[in-house]
Amino acid sequence: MIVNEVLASQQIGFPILTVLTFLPFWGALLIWLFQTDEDLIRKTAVGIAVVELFVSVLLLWDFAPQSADVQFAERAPWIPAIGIGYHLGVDGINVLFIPLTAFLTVLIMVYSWEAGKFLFKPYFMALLALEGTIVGVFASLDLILFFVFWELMLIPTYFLLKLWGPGPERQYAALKYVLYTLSGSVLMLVGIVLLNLNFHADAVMHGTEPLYSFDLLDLLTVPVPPAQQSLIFFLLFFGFAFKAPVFPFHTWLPTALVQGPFVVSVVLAGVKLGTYGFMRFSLPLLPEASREWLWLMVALGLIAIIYGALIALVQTDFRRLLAFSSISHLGFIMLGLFALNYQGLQGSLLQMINLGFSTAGLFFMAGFLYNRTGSGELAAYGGLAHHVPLLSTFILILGLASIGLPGTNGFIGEFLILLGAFRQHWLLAAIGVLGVILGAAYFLWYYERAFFGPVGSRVVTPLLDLRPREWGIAVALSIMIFWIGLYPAPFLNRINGSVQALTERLERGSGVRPAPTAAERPNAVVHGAQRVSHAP
Amino acid sequence: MTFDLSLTPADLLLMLPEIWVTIWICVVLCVNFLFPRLTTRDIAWLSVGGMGVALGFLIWYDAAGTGGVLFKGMFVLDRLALFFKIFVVSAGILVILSSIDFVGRFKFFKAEYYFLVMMTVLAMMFMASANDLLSVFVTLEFASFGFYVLVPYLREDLRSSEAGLKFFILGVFAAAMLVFGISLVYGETGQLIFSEMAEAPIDLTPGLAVGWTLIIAALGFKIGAAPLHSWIPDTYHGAPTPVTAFLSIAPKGAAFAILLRMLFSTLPGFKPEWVWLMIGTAILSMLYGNIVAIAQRNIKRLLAYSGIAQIGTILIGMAAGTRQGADSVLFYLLTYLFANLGAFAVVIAFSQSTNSDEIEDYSGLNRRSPFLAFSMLVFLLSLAGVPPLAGFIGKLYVFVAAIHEGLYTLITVGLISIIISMYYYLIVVKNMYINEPADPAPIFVPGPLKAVIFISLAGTVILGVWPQPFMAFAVGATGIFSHLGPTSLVSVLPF
Amino acid sequence: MTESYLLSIILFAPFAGAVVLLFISNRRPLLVRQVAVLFAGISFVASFILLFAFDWQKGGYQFQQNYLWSEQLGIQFHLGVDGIGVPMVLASSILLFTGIFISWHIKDRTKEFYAFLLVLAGATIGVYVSLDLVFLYFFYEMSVIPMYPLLGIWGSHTKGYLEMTSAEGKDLRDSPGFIFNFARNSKEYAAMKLTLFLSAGAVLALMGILLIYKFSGLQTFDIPVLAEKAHFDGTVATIIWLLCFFGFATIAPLWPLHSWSPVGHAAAPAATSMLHAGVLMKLGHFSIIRTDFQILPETTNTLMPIAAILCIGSILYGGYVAYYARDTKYVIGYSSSSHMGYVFLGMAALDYISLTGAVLYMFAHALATGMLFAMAGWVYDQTHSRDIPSLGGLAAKMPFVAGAFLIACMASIGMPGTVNFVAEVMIVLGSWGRYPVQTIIAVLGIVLTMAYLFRMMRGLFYGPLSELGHHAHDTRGWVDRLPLAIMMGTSIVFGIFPGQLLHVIRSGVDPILARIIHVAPIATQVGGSVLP
Repeated sequence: MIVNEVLASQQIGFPILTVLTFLPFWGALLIWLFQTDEDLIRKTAVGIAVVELFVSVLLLWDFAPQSADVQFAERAPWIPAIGIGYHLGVDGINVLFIPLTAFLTVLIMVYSWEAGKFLFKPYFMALLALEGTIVGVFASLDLILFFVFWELMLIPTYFLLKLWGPGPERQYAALKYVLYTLSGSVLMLVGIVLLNLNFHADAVMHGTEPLYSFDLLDLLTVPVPPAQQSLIFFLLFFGFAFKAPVFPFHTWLPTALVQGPFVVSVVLAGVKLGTYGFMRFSLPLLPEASREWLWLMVALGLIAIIYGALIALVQTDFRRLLAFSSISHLGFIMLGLFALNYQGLQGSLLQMINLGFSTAGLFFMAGFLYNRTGSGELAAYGGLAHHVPLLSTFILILGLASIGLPGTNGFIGEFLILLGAFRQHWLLAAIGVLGVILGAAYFLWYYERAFFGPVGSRVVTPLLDLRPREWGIAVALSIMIFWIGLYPAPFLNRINGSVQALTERLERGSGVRPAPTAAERPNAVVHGAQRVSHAP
Repeated sequence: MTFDLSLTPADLLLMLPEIWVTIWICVVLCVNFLFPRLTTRDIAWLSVGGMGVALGFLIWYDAAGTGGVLFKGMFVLDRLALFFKIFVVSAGILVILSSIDFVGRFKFFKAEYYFLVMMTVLAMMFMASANDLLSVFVTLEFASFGFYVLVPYLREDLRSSEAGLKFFILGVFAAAMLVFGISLVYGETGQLIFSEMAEAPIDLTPGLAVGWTLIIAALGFKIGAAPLHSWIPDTYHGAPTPVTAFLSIAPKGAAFAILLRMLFSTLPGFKPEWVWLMIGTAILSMLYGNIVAIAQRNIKRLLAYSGIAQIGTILIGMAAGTRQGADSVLFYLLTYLFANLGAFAVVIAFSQSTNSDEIEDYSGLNRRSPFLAFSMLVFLLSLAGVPPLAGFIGKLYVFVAAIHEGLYTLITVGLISIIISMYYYLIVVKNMYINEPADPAPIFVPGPLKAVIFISLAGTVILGVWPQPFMAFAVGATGIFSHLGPTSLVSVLPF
Repeated sequence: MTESYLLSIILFAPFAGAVVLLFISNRRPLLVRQVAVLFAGISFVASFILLFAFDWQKGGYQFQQNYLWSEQLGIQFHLGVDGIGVPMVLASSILLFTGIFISWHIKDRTKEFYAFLLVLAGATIGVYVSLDLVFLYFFYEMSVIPMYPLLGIWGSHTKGYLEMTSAEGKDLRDSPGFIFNFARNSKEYAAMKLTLFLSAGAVLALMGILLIYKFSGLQTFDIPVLAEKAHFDGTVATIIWLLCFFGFATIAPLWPLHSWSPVGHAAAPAATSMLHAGVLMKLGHFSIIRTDFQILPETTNTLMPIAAILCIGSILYGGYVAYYARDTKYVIGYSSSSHMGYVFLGMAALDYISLTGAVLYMFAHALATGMLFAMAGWVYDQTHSRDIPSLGGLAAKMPFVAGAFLIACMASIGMPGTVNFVAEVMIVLGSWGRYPVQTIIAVLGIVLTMAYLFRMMRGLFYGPLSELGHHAHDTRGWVDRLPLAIMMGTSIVFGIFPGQLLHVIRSGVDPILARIIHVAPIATQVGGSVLP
């Protein structure tokens, strides 16, 4: 599969992705240099986050829609000895995630205006670093570079969890999170290496250059023998499944989300790195294996949907409920992905974005509640709608979005997913729908108990309703929700091209490598990607 | 056969060093009772001067390549003889220097001490030249005689007297073995002179075998190789430390001179037979010496047992039986001379101010006298065979000589013994450096002793980092063994 | 032309320093330190020059100096480095230079300490630059001996710390070794055990060297000549190979020959541990490459699987014990003996990429473990405790150290951005082809590493502040921070721009490996060299 590439220099004139990736790091460095003037630090952090958001919107704006090309690409050799390169680029699959990350980061900054009570400076540094690594993960097209950011992400997350988490078990949660993710990702590293070795064997066979490459676009040009595909598929699967988390590997998520600070919950639940990984690497690189193991993946997805929903049904802690609901949502995404058809992919890609607004939003709301009542327990709630009408309303909006009420973004996502699943097999869709119903059940039931009815005995009144800053957050989220819900076209037509290409790739299979020529890749950059043959 | 001792002056010239030493001994004696106002210290310097002159003669002879045979071959002067004469004379000088302050302990006959040391040196100079069995016997006994007096020189000290007695009895026993062996050999061959025996074709009759074995055993007794080492520990322990130092070096060197002459140039034909003697003794000495040394608590006994082990290592070179083997033996003796004398010099310095030879008392020596501790460290590590010190090169030389003969067992034992020895040497180091001193009073090191230690240090380090000239010296000395193969088998050096 | 004397400068500067120190009184500690810094600095600077002056396109041995040292024994004083020697020389001199600053606060017998330290490092460098087997052994043994006084005098007893009890209170003590006439867990015991173990390994190797000398029939110890001309027949080759391999693997330390190492680490003062774990251990791998890989290529090809099997033991056992150890230095010591398993894996795979990775990993690990030991030493100096459970919350007292420790952990885990990461990727990349199982174990070992290092970091720096840490203070002034900065900087800079280093190493790996596996490297200098 040959992917055309448009250089950032040709398209926009400056390395926008590099800017997006490293601006937060520079910001963190800048803050580090400051003295401990809280206000200055705070303002700088928010300022940087906002600039980041603007640039990412610019990216979204200049992104050519309905195209499968990799745009705003940047290439540079890094460690040519083993084919590691610095390669950034966006196409339909990852273009939406970067603005989403920037958007959420802004909200997080605003949210934690005075949240980082102690160790103010490192708190914001960690947040900015986290943003930088996430953007890096989304932007990099070189597998090692991707892995680099993927790993670096652990460090700020670890410290955010362990230092600023409200829960008593935060140390444990932090270590658990790190160890789970790391054990997944080292296996993923082996998978990546295997891809490279396969590329190497092919290059040696055809006597082409470069001999080694971790570059996604290079790897796409080389078919992986089916026997090896399954192995690599599962190695990668571990990496992504631990991160996502997919059903059997999900146990770290509730701990982390409940013990960690809300901002981390927002990131972990809102930014769907794991499933992105499936869509970015597993499916295009290993189509046969994906098709072969479709049943397993779908099964895991369905189990996750039902399991997550059922567990969520009996939760009394709001954040635990959200945690399990997001496990259930991830099930949906897996279902959509491994429907392996246009609607499914499109739907789950869109759904990843949607959850970035709705679930993440709900975590913000949970944070607001927690700040007010000092507890996440249902026992501490009850009839809150009387005291905090605005907050209750927004929670309802976001919640309905997350369970996919028509008119909200969730509806479109889930609908497309179910459609795709149906085209794969009607039974899948049927079970999926069951999940939707359960979703509605657990949310509405909890909402009913928490916000309506008599005011709970342990609710200490008066409770302050949304303050302007919080109100801003809520409104921003709701706007996005309804925008996507009512007018998804600008988003969909940005992802369609790539999703289409991916669908074709999945149908055609990796197949035999057509010898690529410069003519076929007009915009291809010379270094690394171009495969000139050298004398044996 | 008749001896006509017609000596031309030219012949006398060959014995000039010996004659000079003899004269000088008399001079020293006369001066001692003619000028009673002179202190023993002056006497010491006087004798050092005389020995220095002798050393000068010897080095001159060696450089000039003077050589010849006297008394129908009883006395031979060749590079080998010169090497060992230089060896014993310099040993003698170092011993006298290190005795200067020790002599104060003797109640009587302080000056005669130097006289005796010089007599012994003279005897061993003759040993180095001994070229027939009779002169071997005579010179050997001559040398032992000096030691019979020197060992029990601390008359009040019981241990010293006991050591003297033991040494005397066992020495006489060895002498008896020697003379019996000689008589057997003479009876079988009718010859006494090495060079003639080498030419005459002999077959190994039982009598001859027994005879040679007894002679070798007697020499083995002199060098103190197991299983003939029994006199060593107590003698070393009891004897006045400078005498111990002397005893641990000089007679062994001289005895090796005779061994080399006998085995390498007289009996090369019987190598297949005598090599087993060498191998056996070597293994026994190395293992026994090292293992027993572990248990020692007295530094002199420790050095005694380690000395046995060192001799075992030298015997590896003898067992090689090649020209290179001879070279390695000579070179090893050089390294052993410096390391061992240095170590004993430190022991002397220490015992002078603390009156103790117990290893425990060496605790914290590094705090009391960094110089002594450092020197001891160097000497012990050199004895253990640690680079970059002389001992390592010596051992390497011996091993290389042996590996060419395929003596893998010997080398293995040698390597193992390196490890064992490292343990007990390091225990001493531990006491000196790691433990804290019982009384932190600094230790005074008198000048002459300091000089000895410095010379030994220099020797130990220089032989370690730049051994080439000394190896050349050793190789030059073994010219008479050229029939045993080349000195070095280096073929493809890019030079 | 001073360039050809570059190696002599690097090698002899530390020795010269040691000799000069002998003549300075202990009553002037500052002067002593300055002299030590001066001479260490010379070889520090010189070895950086060496790295960049090394012409990797030419490859082979460079900066050679060859003098006949002993005609009788055919020993030459032959200095020279190839691509494998260069990074190790660099690592040694970096660790020496930083180590001097790390041990800046040593009061007792400063002069002797620095003298021994300089000799230790100088001898280590000597091994990396000598191309004559005798001098390889010469410097090897010479580098072992100073460890004895260094541990014995300035070391610290490892009283209760060494017995490691798991959660169930199960005793997981390491093999007791042999008992001497002093107490186990005492520094004397550690020193003696270390010295004897290493010397025993050394004499094994010496036997191998002597056999090479005899059976090559060339009567020379010169490595290039032997590598070129020598040939050995089956049994002899096997014996020699095994002797050299296990002789040198003792110091590596390859499981199950490792038991001297953690004890030694735990007892040693910080700077010594740095040099010991940083560069002394690598003498083993390096010497194996010099002897077995270069002189006995065919045998290496047949017998190297031994290493592939034993390295599992190193990785798993080391990691397992490190997880339960309570003594900081014990954790780091075991972690480094577990990490040495990666190097053995990379060497055993006999692949261009993986061997390059292994050599790079030696360099990387030197820096990482150097940092860890440096900071463990700082914590010990401040709190006089290495018992992890009894420490905690030090991050408040020493933020700089805490931050540096985090970076050190990252480096040791092989986090992206540090040179360790590049090395690990290369090892995994190269080893999969031959040893997939070991590769999987290795990567899981990384997780294990993270587990115990983070555990230790949490125990030391976070949580409630223990009363031991009340008087602790952070690194003060450039003297304390410079060494950490140097090590972190090197690790990160080379992690992001490993180009020169990789080229240099590869230029050394190619010729050696080509003779072992008889497969020419596909791209002589991989990476863009064929590309325009």
